[in-house]
Amino acid sequence: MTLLHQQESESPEIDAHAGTSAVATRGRRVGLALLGLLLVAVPYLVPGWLSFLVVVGIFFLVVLGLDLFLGHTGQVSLGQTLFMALGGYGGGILSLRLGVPTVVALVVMAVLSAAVAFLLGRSFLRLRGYYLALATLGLAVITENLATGLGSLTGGPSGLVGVPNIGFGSFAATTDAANYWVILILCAVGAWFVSGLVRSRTGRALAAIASDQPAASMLGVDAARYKTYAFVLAAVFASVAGTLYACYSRFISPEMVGVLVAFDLVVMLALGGSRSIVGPLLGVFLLRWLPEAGQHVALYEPLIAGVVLIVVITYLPDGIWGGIKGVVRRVGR
Amino acid sequence: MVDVVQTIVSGLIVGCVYALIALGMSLIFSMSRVINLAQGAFVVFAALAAVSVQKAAHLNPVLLMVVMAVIFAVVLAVVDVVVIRPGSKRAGRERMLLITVGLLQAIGGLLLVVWGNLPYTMASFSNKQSVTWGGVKLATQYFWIVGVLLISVAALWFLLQRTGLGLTMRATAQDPAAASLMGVNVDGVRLVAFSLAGAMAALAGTAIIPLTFLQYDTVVPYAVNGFIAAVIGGLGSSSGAVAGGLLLGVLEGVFSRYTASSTAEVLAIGLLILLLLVRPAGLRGKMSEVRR
Amino acid sequence: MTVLMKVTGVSRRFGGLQALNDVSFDVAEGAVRAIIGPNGAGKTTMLDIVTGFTRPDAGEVALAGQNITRANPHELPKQGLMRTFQSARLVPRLTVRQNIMLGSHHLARAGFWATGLRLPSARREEKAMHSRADAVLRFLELGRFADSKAADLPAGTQRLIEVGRVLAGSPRLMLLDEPAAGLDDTETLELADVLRAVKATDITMVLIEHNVNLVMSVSDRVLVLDAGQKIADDVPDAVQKNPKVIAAYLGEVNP
Repeated sequence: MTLLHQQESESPEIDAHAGTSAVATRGRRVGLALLGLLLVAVPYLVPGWLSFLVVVGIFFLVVLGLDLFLGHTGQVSLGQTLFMALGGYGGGILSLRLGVPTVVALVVMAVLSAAVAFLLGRSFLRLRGYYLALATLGLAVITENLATGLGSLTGGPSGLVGVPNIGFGSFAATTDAANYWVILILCAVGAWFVSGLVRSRTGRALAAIASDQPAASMLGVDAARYKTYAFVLAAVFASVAGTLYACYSRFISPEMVGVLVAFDLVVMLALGGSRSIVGPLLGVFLLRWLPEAGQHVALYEPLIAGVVLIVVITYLPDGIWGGIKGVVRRVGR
Repeated sequence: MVDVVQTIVSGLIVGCVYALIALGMSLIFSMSRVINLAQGAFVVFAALAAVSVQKAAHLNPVLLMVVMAVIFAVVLAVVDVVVIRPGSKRAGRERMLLITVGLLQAIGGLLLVVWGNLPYTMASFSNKQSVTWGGVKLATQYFWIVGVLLISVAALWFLLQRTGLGLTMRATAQDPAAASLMGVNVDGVRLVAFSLAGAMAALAGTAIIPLTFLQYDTVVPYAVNGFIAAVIGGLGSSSGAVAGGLLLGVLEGVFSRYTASSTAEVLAIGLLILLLLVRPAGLRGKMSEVRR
Repeated sequence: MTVLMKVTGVSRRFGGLQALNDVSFDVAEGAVRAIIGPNGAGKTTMLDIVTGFTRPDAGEVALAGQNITRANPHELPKQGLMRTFQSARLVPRLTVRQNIMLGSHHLARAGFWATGLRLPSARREEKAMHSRADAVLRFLELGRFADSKAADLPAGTQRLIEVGRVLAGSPRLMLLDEPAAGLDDTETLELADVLRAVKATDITMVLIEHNVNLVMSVSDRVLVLDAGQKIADDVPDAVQKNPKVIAAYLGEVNP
């Protein structure tokens, strides 16, 4: 530590966003401010979109967590629905059957999900590439089947009905607008946390693991530990989102945490572009918007989504947002 | 006792379909190191297509299977050229897997557009519905399915072990990059692998549809179970793929006899994941690929 | 002169191949110790054993008196041992500065929560790592590349950056795996200058190298391996004159 600190006085002008140039940082801040302004204005500009945007926010939270694990750490998880289900069903059961306030249920399930992710991580995260993808896909299959099969607990195929709105004490988010604010705040906190994380020592360690695990370990990066942390954090985000999903929809069903949803989460990330905040937002927005775009489109939605995904992943390695940034950079030059 | 045998037999039949999917995935993986997660979707695709062809043409079953095999050999070859080849030139392994997730969604979507959201089935190939041996009732369709698997395995074995093309394919399976440097037309070999996988998917789909109902959203369970069978068997191993498929089928069958079908699926897949964690290389694979 | 690393009787077998057979040597504090030998001599195996990637069948590796034979690779930087790779293994999507900051990863403490919540302690550490990386870049005269993506730079530069990444971790012992491989003559001379400058900062080095000129010009003591056996362990001049070495290695590869 002494060696680290002795040179501290040499370059005092450095800000916390180490390694990024001043111009990029300013551009990012302006962009963030604009995005924030837009998000705050939305309930007044387009009140009709609120229920759609609440769901977008919920999925954004899941994909944001997944981005840390998949985008930054380079580990494929197709099983995030397990944690959504833990949050959704757990939160629903706690509040419906035991009368626990929904906010408390949300926290309890987030902690429980973290514990489950930690325990699973110890054995699962030794697997590489396809094998990890398969094992986590197995989790997604098991999740959907358990949600269907444990009828007495989960309500079976028709789901758990009557989950109370998110709230504590006398407050309950019963309107779309109230839910929007709750989700917006949680998403902002989540995005703030993740972006701090990835531009720090932790983020560099994750990047090193993603690109070359043996080399990372020779730099003193304990890969197993970091991968577990990233998995745990992704699980917590998914669990919180799951509870919010159940509370907002007032019910939760196996379909909401099905294998198709597990695929969709990964698709949203790849489509929008990983390792950013806007990318996941864009991906979630597009994929959730497609089925809403009209009866006529609904029939073609899965086909279009599949074809778009193939094209984007093949030709835009950093997703649509990465593609946009690339174009902007080229024009700016 | 008869009950147990009956359960195992029906499990084995479903397992044959998984085995054929896993065999195709394994073959494609060997030649290209690409996991085609959408492989199982082509079984459903072929099954629905067979129903339509049969409605229009009333072919004899053997001819129907040959026609479907040829059509889907071409379909998968097109998929290789249009989707997989451009992808694998640009994307690494993890992104390639996501591309095939997209392919899986696209196939499901295509089936929805063409065949709608209704389940389809077809009459058995043989007029006699079933035979009873020692109290065990065997649908005649079972024999067709087992026959399809046996013929596929035999044909694949003959191709790989007894022909010049097979030798090239085995060399490619060892190390596609090195084979390419040695002057092997890896793109060509890969096209053959995809065509064969397509033919096997078509045979599986055509043979299983008289026994079940399939529709656009059944692509996912077939894709997932085929993937599980292929990995459990050990990617790149044909005998492993068959063993993995049959094992998964029997496990599902046995468990579903005693519990609800969803619980059976949980138990079967849970058990196989446990197997993967204990023996990550699968039944017949090499350890070094899997973890470090 | 104190001994920093002591390798005692290390053997390792891969199937039918005896990769290393009862090899012992010392590395003196502050010295540059070279390990040379023809291909297949066991140099890489020795490096893997020292860095915890391979366990020896027999023998022991000690660093500053501590047994590190069974240590995990990720625990070694904390003990003062770091390495470079045959072809630079930088993180392609990070900038040069961020790559170098990775080198001081083990010196910092801020964990997942502290960095995510941007606690003052984490920000302080981050600043320190940042200025330390800049100091290293100045030392290597690579400051102009600080904000370039590592992947965009030529191989020779990447190699130097990897050396810089290790320097940022202030190791006691730096292992270099064929640092001159693939470099042209000018780049090799540059590298030799850098290694001499590093040596002047009292960092001990173990150099695995093919380039005999580089080895002879920078190292204090040379270990020669052939087919898993130690065949010489001496100062460079004596090694060059050793007939066994000439027969096994010098004569055939790089006269």
